[in-house]
Amino acid sequence: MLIYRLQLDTLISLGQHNEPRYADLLAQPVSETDTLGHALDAGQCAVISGEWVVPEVVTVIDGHARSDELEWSCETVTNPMQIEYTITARRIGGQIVKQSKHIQLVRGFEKIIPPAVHLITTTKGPLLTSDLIFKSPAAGVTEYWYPTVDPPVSPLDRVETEVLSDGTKRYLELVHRSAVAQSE
Amino acid sequence: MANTAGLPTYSAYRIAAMTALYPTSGVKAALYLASATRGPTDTAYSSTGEVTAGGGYTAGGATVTTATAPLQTSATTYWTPSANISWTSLTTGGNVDCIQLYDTAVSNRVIGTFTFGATSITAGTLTLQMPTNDSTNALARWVWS
Repeated sequence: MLIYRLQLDTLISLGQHNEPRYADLLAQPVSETDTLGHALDAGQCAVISGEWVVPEVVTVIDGHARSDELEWSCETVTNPMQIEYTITARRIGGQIVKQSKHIQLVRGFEKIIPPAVHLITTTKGPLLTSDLIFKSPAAGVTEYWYPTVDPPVSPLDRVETEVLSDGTKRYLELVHRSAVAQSE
Repeated sequence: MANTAGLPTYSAYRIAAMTALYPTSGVKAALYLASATRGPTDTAYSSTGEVTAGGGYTAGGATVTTATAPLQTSATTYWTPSANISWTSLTTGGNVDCIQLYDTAVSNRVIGTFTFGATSITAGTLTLQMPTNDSTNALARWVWS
């Protein structure tokens, strides 16, 4: 079957999809190789290396149509997490008869796993982190605990910091929950 | 030599923890209309706001290929489906902008929500191409602090 590359709003003929000279094009990225032939055979369009490849005959809302008899347009939207490729085919006159979207996820999502409750060495002795609140000095709180080491020497001595307006970092005071409860 | 208290930090422990939530089978992806209100606070798959069955879409969504178990590099444990997620010959009947992954083996527990620019798919293909499965780009990354 003939295949086309969509350049802006214009179909550029690439030739037969099984020609050796297109092997490199159709072989990448690897994750799409297995389904590409099926997609094109079924009249679907596919994104190869960031470009839409359009088969000679495409499925449309009411059956099939020759791709060179449709008006094509494409849009690419990029953000730090993903690249979205959208293709739209209209019949002469404006009716949308086909629209596909390919979302390339650039990065997934990150979740910070906090450490489990543990003992931390403070100026008041060993205390469970679950009994402490990390915060800046607050009105009405008169007594604070502090980490005794700088930097922490034990993997269990995890210390919270905050960034000040001048860009420097400092330890947050360790406030015992009972002290906060009394002051609030 | 003093003893040290704490939960394990070895990689097999962390991988096992992530594998419990991101299994190597039973994961599905549901597709939602832009008018839906899906998000990270969802606990289980819901058909509310899902694309109507028919037109290339099956209720509950598509099976996700997850042949690769979570891996770990340094302090990051990570997981990515091992194949792209796609629907072909799809007609959504309205704008869609969200996919939610869930585990059918554990009460349809939600394990991720992903959004994109709203698009109405017409007799077309919607493909979600997975990122590189490494500690920097993987779909789900747990960073142990």
